[in-house]
Formats: sequence, structure tokens, C-alpha cells
Amino acid sequence: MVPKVTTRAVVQHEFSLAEVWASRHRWELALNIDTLVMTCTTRHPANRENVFLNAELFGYRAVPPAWLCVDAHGTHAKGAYPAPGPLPGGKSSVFHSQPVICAPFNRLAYADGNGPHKQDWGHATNWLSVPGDFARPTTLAEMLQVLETHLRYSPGWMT
Amino acid sequence: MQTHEQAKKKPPHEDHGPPTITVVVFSPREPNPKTFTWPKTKLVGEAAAEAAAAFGYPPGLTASFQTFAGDVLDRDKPLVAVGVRDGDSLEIVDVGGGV
Repeated sequence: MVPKVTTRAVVQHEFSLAEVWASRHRWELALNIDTLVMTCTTRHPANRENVFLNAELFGYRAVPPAWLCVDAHGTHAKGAYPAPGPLPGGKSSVFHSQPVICAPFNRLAYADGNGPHKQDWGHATNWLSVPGDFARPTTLAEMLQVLETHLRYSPGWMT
Repeated sequence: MQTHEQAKKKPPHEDHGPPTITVVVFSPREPNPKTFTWPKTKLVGEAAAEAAAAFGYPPGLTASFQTFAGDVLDRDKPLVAVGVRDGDSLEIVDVGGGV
């Protein structure tokens, strides 16, 4: 596994770019460099309620972050996930009813995270080379951008 | 004052403004934007792919632009048809799907 000091250096560099992106898009970000957790808050466009996303960054970039939607108390909950809505062109949402953010940039989509792609994607270390027509963000700021785009087409919340 | 005859001698597209537009493009990859000038009739997807390459994205990205009002532009339409105007600011977005 990647030494923690290496992950911290990479995360700090990418977090600075993510903050620039967040300031343009009115997201709030915070990074706990000791626990390697980035917390992100934005508003759901459907009703302006807060969306809380956590990215657990242990082992990043050997493996992607573990992205979770959590409630206001920081608890993982299905009701904290935006409901999936198709993107223009009929592309699928990353918000999956399991519930999980189902995309190659989420560690929880793989077998490692007991995700929907236990069989076909292999280990999460494959995240930069999973074949298919998916969103392909490779940095934290790009991941936030993809999440924002998919959130824009979400009709509401999972139930 | 311009006569009717003088007006008729204008180049054919002058009344519609210049045939190109210059836009400022932001990317999540870099803190600073880049400026691009494209024909108004260039497709959004083609312009976005060109901008993505300039920002160092790998080939194959399903790229489009998002306006600062939050609208994601239709990749298959010309820039002018989706309302892009000279001086606009846009952001590159990856509009690839989930699974």
C-alpha cells in the first residue's frame, strides 16, 4: 500500500486545485489530512437541501477515493443519496440505488468495497483503466465536477 | 449616413458580426483559464475536445462545456446555436455516464 506520507502529499496538492474548483461552483470543502477524509457540501438543485459527500482517501492514488453520501450527522444513509436521473444522450447516472456512487473513480463500486462491480472491474487498483464509456475523472477536482454534473440531472432524493 | 447602395456592398457576413468567437475556458485541472477562438459554427463537442486536449486530458474524454449559470451544453450543436457569445466563460465538463 502507498505510504501515508506519500498519499498526504498527493492529496494536499490535489486539494488545492479542488478548492479553486469549489470556489467557482460554491461547494464547501474541508480536508482532514490526518484521517485523509475530504468532506464536501453542496446544494441539491431539486430542493436546495444540502448534499454531504465524504471522500476517504486512504491509499490514493493507487486506489480511488471511497465516495459516500452521508446525512447531516455524517452517517451513511440511502436517503442522503441523490436519486439517479439520466444525463443528456441517455447516459446513466453515477447515483446507484444500492446505494453507491457507481463509477470507476469510487473504490466502493469494486469488489474491495462490496460494490456492484465485483466481477467485471477487478481490483480497485484498475480504476484508471476500466474499459467502457464512463465518466473518467482522474483528480479530486475532476471527480467533484462529475458529481456536480450528475447531481444537476438528479430529480430528488433516494428513498 | 450610409446609403442603401453602400450597405449592399458590405461583405456577406459583416451584419452578423465576426465569424469567430473568443471564450475563456476553465478546467478542474488547472487554477488558471485558457482563451480560445473558434468559428461560431464549431460543434460544442469538437471545441470541448480541443480545449480538453490543451488542458492535458487524455483522448477519449466525453467532453462538453458548462456555463457559469450551470447549464451543460449540447455537444452535438454549434456553439452559436447553444447561445455561446464572444467573451463568455465556460468550464470543461466530463459528461461520461455512470454504470
